[in-house]
Amino acid sequence: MRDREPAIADDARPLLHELAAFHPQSWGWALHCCGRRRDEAQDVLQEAYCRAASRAGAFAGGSSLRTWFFGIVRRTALEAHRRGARTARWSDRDGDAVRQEPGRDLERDEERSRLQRCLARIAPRQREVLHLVFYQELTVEQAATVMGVSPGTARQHYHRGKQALRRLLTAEGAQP
Amino acid sequence: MTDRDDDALIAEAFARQRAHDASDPPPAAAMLGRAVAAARRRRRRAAIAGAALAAAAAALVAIVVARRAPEPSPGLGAVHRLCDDLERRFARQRETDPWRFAAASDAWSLDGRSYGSPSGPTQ
Repeated sequence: MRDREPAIADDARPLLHELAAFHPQSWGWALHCCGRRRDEAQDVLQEAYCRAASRAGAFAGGSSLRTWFFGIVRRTALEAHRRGARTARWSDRDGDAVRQEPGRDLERDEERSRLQRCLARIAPRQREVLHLVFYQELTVEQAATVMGVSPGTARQHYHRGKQALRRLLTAEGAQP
Repeated sequence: MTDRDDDALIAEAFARQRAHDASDPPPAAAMLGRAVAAARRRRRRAAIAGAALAAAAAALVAIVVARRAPEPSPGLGAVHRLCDDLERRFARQRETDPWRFAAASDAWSLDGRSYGSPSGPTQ
């Protein structure tokens, strides 16, 4: 039994090595999927890494490693939400978290807070596709793969979300 | 405002968010190390569970096969063999410890054959 252990670890290690290359992006995606709750995002990302390591052989290479892994993070976060570990609303915690960070540039904090407030007011699917395209710099087709929807559906969410977010950002910017 | 302006506005807002998030992500090495250890544990547990399942299945199959197979009847021959064996053992004991065997009490017969006749010395 012990003889087989190094082989098992070696199986997952190259994959995890590749995942480490885009760890900051995965962290951003986990934060988004968990409504920007840091503790929950950390748990979700850790569990997603464990799942990826356990299913190292399942990655066939058909899609990119990033979209495959983002799909795992998304499903893990959804399961965590279903378990009802956290019930706080998407927008409330984030606003507080951004405001309470000490020693940050207040103006930039306010801009980020503004984005989060606006994102909280659009549909979850629209929010998701906008994050994947603008934050993660994926194509709409890759975003569709992560979200598990057709490219046409993702494109529709993308255009509607963009219009809604632009309207909200402009309106927030116009306010004193 | 053109579509390109929309994109620029939104992209700028997300870029700020990305820069902020990238400033303090949790340590990748620790998380990935834990993931490797967890994967190893999961596989080991799965292997143990698989072996236990295989053993249980084998035992179940053995029980089913044993129940289905016709039980051989011992027959009178087997009883005679058993008695012969007992006779040999008694004879050996009579040689080593003759005082324990009384002449009459050792004899018995089965199916016309006699056993336990007092051939050993008695006093």
